[in-house]
Amino acid sequence: MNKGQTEIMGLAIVVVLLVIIAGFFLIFSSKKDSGTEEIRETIQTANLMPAILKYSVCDKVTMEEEIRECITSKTSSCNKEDCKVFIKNSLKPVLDAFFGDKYMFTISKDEQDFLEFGNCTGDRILANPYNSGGSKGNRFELNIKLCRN
Amino acid sequence: MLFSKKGDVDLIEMIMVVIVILIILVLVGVFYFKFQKADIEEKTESLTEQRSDVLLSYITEMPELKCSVKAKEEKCLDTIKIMSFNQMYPKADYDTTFGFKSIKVSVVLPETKPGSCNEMFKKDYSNYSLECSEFVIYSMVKPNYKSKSVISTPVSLYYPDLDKYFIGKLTVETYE
Repeated sequence: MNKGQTEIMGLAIVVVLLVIIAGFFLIFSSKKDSGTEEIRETIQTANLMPAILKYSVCDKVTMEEEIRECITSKTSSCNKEDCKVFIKNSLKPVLDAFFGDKYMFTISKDEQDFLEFGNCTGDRILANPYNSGGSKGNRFELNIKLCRN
Repeated sequence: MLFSKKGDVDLIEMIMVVIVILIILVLVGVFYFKFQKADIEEKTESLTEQRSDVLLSYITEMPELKCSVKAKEEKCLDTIKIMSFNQMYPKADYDTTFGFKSIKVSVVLPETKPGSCNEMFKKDYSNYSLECSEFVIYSMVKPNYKSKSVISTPVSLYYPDLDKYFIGKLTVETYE
């Protein structure tokens, strides 16, 4: 190999090294932070749960009271025929308004699902369950799972 | 002639190599600073959103808006307080606290008639509850703004005249 060829080889190596270094800079500087979005969704679900329980679903009856009555005696404090259908129809619009169709909402008591509705087909991100108030035997859990389809 | 042809060629070769390396370094530098600028702009946007998130939490805890029943604070916003705040705030110093933002609450459940509750409240403060769907807490729009970021969170809304709780959406629009 003559001197000219050696120098060109050296130049080519320098160019390759610079391209590799630039590539590493691009990779590390373009990483997106997805943590902020998850934190925001967690805060949204945490704020929505107490708002749902406080909601005046009918005269002098809160959603918490209606759910409790439905779980314990399968009747509606609002004099509706099917308390489960009434609760679902009352809550679906507000959940759709905040989460579109990418959620699964569950009401459970003593680790048994009482009511579940939603549409999740992909991986789920579990939100923290929210416990209602009341005495030990009367408590139930609300849980919203947000989906990544 | 003192300079040999071979020496001339070597010199020109060396100069060409240095020029090429300089051009490459300049190009790498230009691309690097371009991506750094985009990264900084993205981080600025992210920080603005985080500040808005903090503001959302602050607004839900403001005593001027938060509901309290028999001196006990509850996790909700009082609609009468919202209306009073909106009428009062031009006299107070909230512009430095909030800046160029629009802060609104819209009623999600139950369905109410669309319309501004601020206007309804001015016309008839005893009969606005189901006749409107949007409360404006604060609004200062930036002239000729280029973009705005919007974040929201659910809130419980208390109507003292009905003694009922509705579900609303608190929205903060930040103008940039």
